[in-house]
Amino acid sequence: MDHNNRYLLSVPHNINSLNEFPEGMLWEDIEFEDFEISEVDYDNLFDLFCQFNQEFDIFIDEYEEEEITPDKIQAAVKMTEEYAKKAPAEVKKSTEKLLSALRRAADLSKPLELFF
Amino acid sequence: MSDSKSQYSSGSAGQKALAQLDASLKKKLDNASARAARFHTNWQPVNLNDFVDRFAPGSTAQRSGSKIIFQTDGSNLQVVCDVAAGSCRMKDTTIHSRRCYLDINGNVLGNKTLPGGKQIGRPIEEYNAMTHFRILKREEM
Repeated sequence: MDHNNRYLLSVPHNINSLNEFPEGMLWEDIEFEDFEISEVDYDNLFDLFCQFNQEFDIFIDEYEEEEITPDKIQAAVKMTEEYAKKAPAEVKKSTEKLLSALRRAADLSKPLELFF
Repeated sequence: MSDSKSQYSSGSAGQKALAQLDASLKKKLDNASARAARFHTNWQPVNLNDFVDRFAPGSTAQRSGSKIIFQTDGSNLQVVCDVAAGSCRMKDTTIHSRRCYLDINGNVLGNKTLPGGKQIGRPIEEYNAMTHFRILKREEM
């Protein structure tokens, strides 16, 4: 049995929220930019994701999809930077992957989608 | 007919006991419990025995962290049960990136049809509500 789950961070380029599709826009029309993390990265970042859940009232988890909306991206960047400061080297590498995705979302003023 | 519900309950109890010794697993279970407390009233109830017999017949429960998974050998469908949330989802493993969870009849839910007949992407909240199922307790089955 294949238990391997993908851990995909995605920035959609042409939609502001997966809860607000513009008229006529289909799921397959969304242009995603992907930043994949590993299961080890997910475990390294789990405590941070729990902080996101509490701060943003969301539920990031394995086998779930969640969205960090554009208005929360800067706060998520700051929380990730703070988390990285106290983290050991291996965890820091995982935070860098997350920061790449968050900063891309911030640059584009788009959400970050988490498909786990 | 397999009793998947018993396998789920037994596996769930085992993982909950393990979580008392494993802080990381406990945190994952707590996280799932919080999600269930928030959303479980939106989830369609399912009889796990019937659900597994339909989509993963002949399979046995496999533990994977905070999840218990049923999958028939050679099948692309997984019934993924959450230990703490008392919920399950159905995953199509041939969909490798997004929207890989199916509705209660095994349909892909990327889009929906509006009353006028036009199609539009399905919002994530609606998608999540339609792809989570509440596992009926034994006394409800």
